[in-house]
Amino acid sequence: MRPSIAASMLVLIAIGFAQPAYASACRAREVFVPAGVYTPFFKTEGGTRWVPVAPICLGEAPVTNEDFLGFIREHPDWRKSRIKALFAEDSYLADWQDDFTPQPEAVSKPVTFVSWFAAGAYCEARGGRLPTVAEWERFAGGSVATSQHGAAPFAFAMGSSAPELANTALKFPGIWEWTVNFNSALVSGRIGTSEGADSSQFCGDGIRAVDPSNYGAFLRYSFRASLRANFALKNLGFRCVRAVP
Amino acid sequence: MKHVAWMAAAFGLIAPVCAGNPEVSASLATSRTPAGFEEVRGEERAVMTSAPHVPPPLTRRHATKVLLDIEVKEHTKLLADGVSYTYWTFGDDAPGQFIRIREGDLVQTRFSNHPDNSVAHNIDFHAATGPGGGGEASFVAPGHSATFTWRAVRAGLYLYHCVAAPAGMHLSNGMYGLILVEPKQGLPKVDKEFFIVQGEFYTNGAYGERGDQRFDMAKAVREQPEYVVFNGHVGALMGENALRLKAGESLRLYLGNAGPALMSSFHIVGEIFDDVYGEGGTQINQHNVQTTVVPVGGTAMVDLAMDVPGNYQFVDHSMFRAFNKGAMGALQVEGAARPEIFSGRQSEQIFSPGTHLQRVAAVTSTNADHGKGVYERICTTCHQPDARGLPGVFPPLAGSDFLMSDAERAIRVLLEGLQGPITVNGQAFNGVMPDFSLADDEIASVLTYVRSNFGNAGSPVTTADVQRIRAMNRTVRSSR
Repeated sequence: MRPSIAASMLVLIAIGFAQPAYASACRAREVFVPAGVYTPFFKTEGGTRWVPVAPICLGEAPVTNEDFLGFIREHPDWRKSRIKALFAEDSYLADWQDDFTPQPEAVSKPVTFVSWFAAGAYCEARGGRLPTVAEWERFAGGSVATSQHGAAPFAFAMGSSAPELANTALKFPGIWEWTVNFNSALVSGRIGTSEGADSSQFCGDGIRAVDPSNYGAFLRYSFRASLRANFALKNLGFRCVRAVP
Repeated sequence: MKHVAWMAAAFGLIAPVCAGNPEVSASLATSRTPAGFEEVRGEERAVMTSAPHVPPPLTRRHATKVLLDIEVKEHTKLLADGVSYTYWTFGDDAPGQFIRIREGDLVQTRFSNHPDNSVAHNIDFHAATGPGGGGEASFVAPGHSATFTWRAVRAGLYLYHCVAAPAGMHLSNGMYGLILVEPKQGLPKVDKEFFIVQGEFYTNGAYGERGDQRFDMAKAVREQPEYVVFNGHVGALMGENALRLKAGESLRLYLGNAGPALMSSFHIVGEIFDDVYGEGGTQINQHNVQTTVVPVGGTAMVDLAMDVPGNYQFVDHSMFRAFNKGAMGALQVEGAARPEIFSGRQSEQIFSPGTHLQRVAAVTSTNADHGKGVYERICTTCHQPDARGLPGVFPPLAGSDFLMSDAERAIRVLLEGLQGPITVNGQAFNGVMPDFSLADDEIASVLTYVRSNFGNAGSPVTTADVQRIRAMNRTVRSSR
């Protein structure tokens, strides 16, 4: 295990387990996710099969068009007419009629066609951030089942609550969701941040996937691997998390 | 190197991570001819045709730049009668279109993932030499497209397929097709050409279960498909869709097997392949072949001429795939009879050797499900789980006038078997049904079951009815 990883794990353990955290610290429309352990889909370096995850306050549903409109009004740089090409490709908010007009029937539905940059800026403006892959997989990677389906194809892969969150208000409406480190786990070669040595390592890990029948996880990792931070896609939205105060 | 990447991908991880391949505009795409390669002249759109048709042989005698556009769609299609499935396809259907190019061609491939799609996709051309066969170069999110160029260095018949994780799922959702790289001198001319790709579907419901079916990863990992089909659908090459040709015409079949699990033993019932290009290479490596292997992720080409007219089935000779999972198609051959090669039936006589075979009494049961059990154990093989038979091959029992109009005849068929021409619901059949040596109560149960299910509403058949007919038959025989 690399020292930096070991150190960061210790920090996470310290945060996650040394301090008590309470659900009452979370706001309305947030769900309290207690500290826990994420079992990665792939064995981690050194063979460790678990990653401690600190408690978080988690948006109970993806950010809606209405929510995002509020953010746009406060932060003009993120209007579709003004956004810099570096931060979002042409399809940014493609389903909005103009800078301030989402589709009327989609106002309370999840905002999509948003880039990683825009999603991150929104969360920051609301005092939070995007979830990490580990956090997301822990709270939403609950189902391996082939039988769980929602309205969207592969909705089961797009998220279902971890068992201990089953009775919360957590919602997964059948879209993919951004994670803060979507491009760090498996994708160095494709994304262009060439870390040549690491990519072969990830292939090796793939062969040793913890559960090869967990094809929801395969689909998510594959989908994340296809992304770049400026992408704005029809079926990709986001939700925010906040550290428990 | 390509194979290393492919293997890793096959085990589930994403090809694109396995060989970091920066986006470069390689000299491949420029007009200067690298040493050792044929000059590339001009450009043209790729010639592509939908299954089972094959584009005509290329007439040009030079290499060119081929512009190839492939779009991935995720959409619901019929897998079998009454069975729908969300296919992932190159173009509109599975298999994808047949692409015909020439050795030495530069193939500029634009690969597009429709914005309504759910997941990332890519394409691996087995005809390409380079990391992932294009898997990394083409890997794109929904709503994106990527372009890459590869040189068709080697002639032969090749599979192309998606290799995004989990690769086996992308394959078993329909993401495969064939590309023929003609040798510079072309292939020997034939009169007709078709292509057939075998593939598997792992549905959550059993074979024939109606309604919308979904991918079942557990069955896929166990390599136990519910469906094994030719050209993407049950019946894609049966009945009205049978391949048609004239007796004496030379025929070439381009065969592929997308798997992802099962080797194919391709066989035409009643025909012999004249020449086989084993494993889809450019050399004829055997003559007079009854069954040729089409490996998973591989191909074969067979040349033949059908001399005797008639209706021929072709199958994966792993027979339960053919009769119970869909791996069957038909060739309809028109022409004048050839009695010097094949006579057809010349006569039929009673065979009565004068001795009886010893039979152990069948276990009897009064269970109400008895008839259903007999039906599923014996009859579904031909008459199909839904009792609708196979058009032109096995007559239907559902709504069958032949069955329902004469219960005594039905009993006789089960006692003695049946062969020769019959007409069922106005459609002609000419096949053989053996006598299955069923006990009287089994015959009564199964006839009662089929006559009161599958939309039929007939009177029950009793064991006494069967005993009466059996006794009558004995009397007739002994009086002869």
